[in-house]
Amino acid sequence: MGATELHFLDVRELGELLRRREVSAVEVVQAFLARIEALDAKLGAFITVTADASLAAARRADAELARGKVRGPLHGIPFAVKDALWTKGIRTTNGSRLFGGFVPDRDATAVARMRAAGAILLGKLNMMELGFGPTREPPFGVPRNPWDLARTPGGSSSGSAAAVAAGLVPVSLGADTGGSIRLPASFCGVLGLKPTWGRVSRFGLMGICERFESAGPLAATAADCALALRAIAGYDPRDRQTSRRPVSDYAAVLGTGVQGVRIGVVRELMESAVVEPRVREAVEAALVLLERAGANVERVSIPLIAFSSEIYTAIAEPQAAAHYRRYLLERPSDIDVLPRRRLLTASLVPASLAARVAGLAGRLRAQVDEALAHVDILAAPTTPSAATPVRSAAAVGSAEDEWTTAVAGRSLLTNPFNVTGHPALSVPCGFMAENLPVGLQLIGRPFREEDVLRVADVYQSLAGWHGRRPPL
Amino acid sequence: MSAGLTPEQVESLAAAIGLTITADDLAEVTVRLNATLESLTALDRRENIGVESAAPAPRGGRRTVPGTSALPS
Repeated sequence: MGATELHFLDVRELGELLRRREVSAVEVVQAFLARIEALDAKLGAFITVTADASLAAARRADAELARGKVRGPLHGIPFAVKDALWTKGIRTTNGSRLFGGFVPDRDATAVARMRAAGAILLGKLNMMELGFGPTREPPFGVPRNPWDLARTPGGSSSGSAAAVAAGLVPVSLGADTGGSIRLPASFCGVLGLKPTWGRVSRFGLMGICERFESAGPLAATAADCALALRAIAGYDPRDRQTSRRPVSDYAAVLGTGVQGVRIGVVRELMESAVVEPRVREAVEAALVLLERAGANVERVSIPLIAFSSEIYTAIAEPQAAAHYRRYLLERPSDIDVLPRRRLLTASLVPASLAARVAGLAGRLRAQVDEALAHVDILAAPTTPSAATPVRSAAAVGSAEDEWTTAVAGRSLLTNPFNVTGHPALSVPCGFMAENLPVGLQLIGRPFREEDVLRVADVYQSLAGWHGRRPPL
Repeated sequence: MSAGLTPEQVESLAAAIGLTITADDLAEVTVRLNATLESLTALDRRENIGVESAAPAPRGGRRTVPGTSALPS
């Protein structure tokens, strides 16, 4: 099989080729490294590529396969991770000059578990600085959308989505605090999953708000995300807030259909004035397909969800400001102007006001749980629009600037489920006129990731959007 | 209703907690802080009325005891 044919095989297909010894792990890694070499200069998806270490790991993987040792479905599969996740001996920048020289002495748990499953790390992926929203002058290059290089891939897990969409890596790990896996997944036409809070260890994740963030997989298919999630999920004594619930075999429920599944479309999100009509149409069309497959679709109302951004702001922003206070004091000029202004603003919000608004998080969570007592899955658009243009540093301005406001508003549809902790994924549900993808967001009950993956899998089998390739 | 803080007031607030805001950042931080305070205050006024139970929110989420609004009826 030619190198160019390997790039868009999914994890299951690649794994089968490897286990049948029709292709070696070294050949697979070489093919992906060559594609990164050919394309990443214009995509900006990677900050660090670990070619030598990757090939060494591939040789070890081949040696194990030759001895008959198969670690699992990820054995020999290349992956890459957002540069917010620690990687032993490999620079981990968190997208910032603040950490340009930081080299962890251990892997993040999610990374270690992928390696233990036999996956092969190719490198570290570009991201918005500190995972904290748009960056005016990204220190490690401007990441671009494979569908249109003049557009952003979104963020903050920018490279995690762009790399999968461009066939630079079949699966990646991102991190999501307010939408940072789902939003770029929507913009780049891939599937991205934010697990239930506490399902995946945050040890080694350089985050901004521990109550909201989670590492999670991005891939072309629900099946591939299921495989990656199974590898990384589970209790971790180094993150004692992780759940001790058994980890499901998420891939086992795929293919069981959606007959009788009740899907509740969140009225306040679907009918939000920020959602472009054509995005709404794409989501409606996706729901019609699911209805034809046997799902029952209805509207549900979650009144407080319209104010989730305020609740999110009241909790996440002061935590981020506290987290980075030392750097605001000692190295403010090493923080890009946009996250720096956001951190300064958050530092000045009165704690008593923030705490009162933050107290509404429990009420929002209860309303989402109430809705999920009547339906199995919630649905909404992932993003209000398709990917927006990359703006030059000179053009990015103030909160009164339309672009910044639009960017700040992108997470309106995703951050409610960080506040509540429910699992949520984005699956591609169509393309806008400019050949730009958008996503359908599916939200499940706590620790029921298999439910959203199952519905996404059925939808993908019906719609086939994941078969499209960007014009690179 | 805007919180109406002036850049000078924002600069003083920041100094009170040891932070220095450059002239380049001050105007923008002032705009953002006023907007943030306005939105949080509006939500607080809308949702946090009445006497609240110290117990966890019941199913449905409402914690306020009906008929005990702190606002004039």
